[in-house]
Amino acid sequence: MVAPQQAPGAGASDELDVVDESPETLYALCRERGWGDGLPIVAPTPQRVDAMLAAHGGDPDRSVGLVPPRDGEATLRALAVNAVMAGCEPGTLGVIEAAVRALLHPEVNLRGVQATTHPVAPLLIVHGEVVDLLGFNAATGTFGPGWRANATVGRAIRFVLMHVGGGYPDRGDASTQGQPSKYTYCIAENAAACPWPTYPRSRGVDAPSAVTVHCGENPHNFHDMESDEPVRILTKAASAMATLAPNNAPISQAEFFVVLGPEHAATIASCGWSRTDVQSFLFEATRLPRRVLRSAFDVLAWRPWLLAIDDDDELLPMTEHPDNYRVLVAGGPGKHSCVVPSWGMTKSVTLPVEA
Amino acid sequence: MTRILSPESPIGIPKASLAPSPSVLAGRRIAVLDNRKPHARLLMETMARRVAERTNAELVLVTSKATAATPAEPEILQQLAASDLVITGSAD
Repeated sequence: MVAPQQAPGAGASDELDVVDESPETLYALCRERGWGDGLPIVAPTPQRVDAMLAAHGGDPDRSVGLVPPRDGEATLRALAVNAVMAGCEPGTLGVIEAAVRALLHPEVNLRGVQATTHPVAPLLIVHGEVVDLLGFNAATGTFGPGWRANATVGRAIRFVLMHVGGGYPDRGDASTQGQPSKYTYCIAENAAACPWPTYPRSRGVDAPSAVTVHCGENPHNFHDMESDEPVRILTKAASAMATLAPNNAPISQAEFFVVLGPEHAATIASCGWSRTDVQSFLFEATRLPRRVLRSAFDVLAWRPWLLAIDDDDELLPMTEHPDNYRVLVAGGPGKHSCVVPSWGMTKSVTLPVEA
Repeated sequence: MTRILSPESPIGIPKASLAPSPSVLAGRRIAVLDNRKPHARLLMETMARRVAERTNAELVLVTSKATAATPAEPEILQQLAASDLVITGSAD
């Protein structure tokens, strides 16, 4: 059925022939090659890949960089093949390229993200004009399911990490248990519902469209149905983050993404609080006693000033700086928000999407 | 038949290969790179000392990466380059 080209995982073959595009044939191909995520794929035919590339423009051989640990070349063509395979519409390649470019920034530490036993997956956040242009869902159910752009672009990122980067479960990816967000993990910022400057502007990125990547855990929900002021809402967020479980506890550089639902954000802003006020409050409210933290870990990747504190009763912050609480607005009506803890040895990156 | 494209792109740079292991350890310098995983230093240093004792090699360096999650710093690699055998890579 499949014309063999080379050993699974070795890469570098360009084309192969299959008898048809049926789900059964493509499942058999993926099983034989070790490709895919276990869900049905779209056949990356030359015609579909060409359409994906044509919608984006640029030299298909231009490389965004090498994706570790396999160090496969992330050429536009390779990204397009994976995008087609994941079910993406033509037009989304620019977002995928920007996301991969962001993931390859050194501070992301993608080699570690890919290879660790931690369940970490990159959360892709899409900002700006491309949200509506490409049909990303920034409102109700932004984390999914139900929207093709969110689902397939997030899936394409996973495919790139697997097929180009070699992050196959139990080979390049040593995650002990994995996590559902390794299938797809893409949301969009609800800029219309954000009472503050958009997230990219808050990070100094002034572009019509942008992406942010944050390598972390699955989202942890917090709800507050009753409050009409910020403190009770954000105390619940702090409660979700002040635990020994995430890597934020032993790694002080780690960020928390705080994804506020529009109603929580509106309530907080209606009391005159800025994004910086939210960050400062969370820095003060998200704490554990030194005794609890020091007794839980033998190895701590903390800044010296945190390590120097010797009062066991002192409440220590769960991250070294208020700016590590990264606040944005996404979702629709309702009284729910979430936090996304970090893998730890990684920093988020926000980049423009090139036109 | 349907023609499809592989999602696996070519590898960009050749992988580094391990240096050949010395056939005789007598007189050789052994180093340990602790990757900061729990008990890694104890395990690997003990192993290195036993090997050195049995082979008349010498344990010359026990050093650590900053964290398990990041590559070894260039200065650490520079130090390790002066040894003939490096023991590393203990996991969870």
